[in-house]
Amino acid sequence: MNKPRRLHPIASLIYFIKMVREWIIPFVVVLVFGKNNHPSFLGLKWVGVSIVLLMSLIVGIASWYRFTYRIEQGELRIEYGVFVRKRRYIPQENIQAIHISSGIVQRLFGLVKLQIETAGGNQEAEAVLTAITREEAERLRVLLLQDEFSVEKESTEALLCYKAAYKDLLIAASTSGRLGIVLSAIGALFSQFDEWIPYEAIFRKLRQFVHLDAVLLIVAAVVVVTLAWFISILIIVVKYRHFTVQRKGKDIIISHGWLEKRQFTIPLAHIQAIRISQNPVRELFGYAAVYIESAGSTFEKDANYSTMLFPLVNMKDINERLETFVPGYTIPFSFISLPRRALPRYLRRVMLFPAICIFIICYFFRPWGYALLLALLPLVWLGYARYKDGGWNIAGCQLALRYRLVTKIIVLLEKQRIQSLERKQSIFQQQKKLATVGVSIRSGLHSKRFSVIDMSENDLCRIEDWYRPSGDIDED
Amino acid sequence: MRGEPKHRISERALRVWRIDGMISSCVYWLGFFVVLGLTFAFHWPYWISMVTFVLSVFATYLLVWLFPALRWKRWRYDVHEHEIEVQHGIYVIKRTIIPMVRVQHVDMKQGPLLRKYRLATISIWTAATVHEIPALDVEEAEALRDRISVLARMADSDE
Repeated sequence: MNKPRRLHPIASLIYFIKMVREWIIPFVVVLVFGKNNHPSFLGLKWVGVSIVLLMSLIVGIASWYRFTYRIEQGELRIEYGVFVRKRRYIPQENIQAIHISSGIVQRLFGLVKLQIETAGGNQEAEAVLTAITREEAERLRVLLLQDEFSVEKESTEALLCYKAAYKDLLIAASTSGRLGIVLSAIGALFSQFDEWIPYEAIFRKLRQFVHLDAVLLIVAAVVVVTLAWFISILIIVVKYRHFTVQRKGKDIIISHGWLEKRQFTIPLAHIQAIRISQNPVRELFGYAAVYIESAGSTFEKDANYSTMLFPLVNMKDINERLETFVPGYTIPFSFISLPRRALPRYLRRVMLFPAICIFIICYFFRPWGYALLLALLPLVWLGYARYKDGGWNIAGCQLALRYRLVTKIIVLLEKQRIQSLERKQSIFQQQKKLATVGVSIRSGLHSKRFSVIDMSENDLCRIEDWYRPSGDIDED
Repeated sequence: MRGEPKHRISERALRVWRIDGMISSCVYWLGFFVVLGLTFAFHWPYWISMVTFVLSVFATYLLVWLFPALRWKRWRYDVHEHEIEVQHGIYVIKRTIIPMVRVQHVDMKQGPLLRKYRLATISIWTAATVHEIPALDVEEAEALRDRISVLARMADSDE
């Protein structure tokens, strides 16, 4: 395997498209908005455009020609660059994960894109093989990710597989809580186009049918929200269609996508934590989504730098699922909850500021302002729910933390993955013998911190003692 | 349960922090003089400059006296064979445990002010976090840095 190989020639087309894409905006600016439309000048513009296109094509082909890769002495060696020749040697042990995906061009030709993620840290350290055959990708994956055990195991161990049912995916999509994001996107979009869409005229027309402004507004709001909801469902279904999780030996392979198929390989050894998240709607029906927090996941970037493991699981089946795919992680049967004396602090944190605002409004807008007092009820619920759901548990090498912002979250952490453990205590917490625990793990190229506020000081000491490598006493 | 860590940082840290505090409080005094100037120029009521004066005095007290003193009092650390423990904070006290196995590398750095007082800051890096022990005596800092990196390597080979 020492012979340098090239990518599939289609790679040059992809490079070309990528370059052209960067030129599109200047093109459009020059061609469409250029006011000087004198015939000779127009001709000049087209000549310019063709030169750029031709150059891009040549550079695209040259980049493909120059790009070679080989595996040599336990390193993936890539050489590339048209004007400046570059070499990138990635030692096999630095490879964190390999992702296989395919965009539209790749799919047309039955090819895939292979991305290699390294422990190096910066974005530069990663390598991308833009277009190779699926077999080649599979071969590279096996060659590069092999370590002492996985090869033999892979052949003997049965392939464990989970496919998200279409029904589950739909439920997951409709309860995803992305509605807000889509709504704001729609808002932004509409405000961009308000010069062209005659909102006022439309509104006036509608008024002929509906006479009450309030009714009209409510109907409009319902329509927009429903629309946004459907769009959010669509987005998620397109992204996560055909969601499959496989476990091959020591790797987890997740693939999904409708138009653009993506595949991620995460070695079990790179998992830093498992996060189970239940938004209130899902909680009501006993469902949850499960995420993997892993080191060096720069490709599957959702907002939290985590990778979805199961879009939707029934809480009853969750431990069985975890055992199959991420052995060692279990949601404990019970959590040790927060002491009663933490409750007032929880309520105060949620309510103090809104309550002051509401009282002021009440005072100035009597008597109708009093209706606003009802708005405090959900806050009471939230404060109480946060208090009630705060908790922790230690079982063997696993620390489980449970807390809530609005969404209820359970994090499962292995002792050896916790980079540091922090105890935070304000003067007031000290008086009540409460403290906040914070654990830091690696996530992506950065770090992530999970914390439970106001647990009892003694409980935190137990966690600290569990975490300390030295056990109890270690005098200097 | 264990008590708080035993080692303190150098007492000269206090002086450095006080100087830092003086520099920061200059901003408040600058604000005060601007207000004073405006008061004379535009005949503003005098209470405005009075309030700014009191604020500046108060800020100076906090930045130069109270905060450095509290910070120094709270700052504790311990380097054991298997773990490092760091405690700091003014109003909220943070105490962190860093297992030796998790330590990736140790840095030492010195700004001009620290150098003048023969002090140095040590940064301890894990894969996810950085922890600093500020203002240690230079020799102590060097010794500590070497010790931590030896211990970290030992812990690594143990695992």
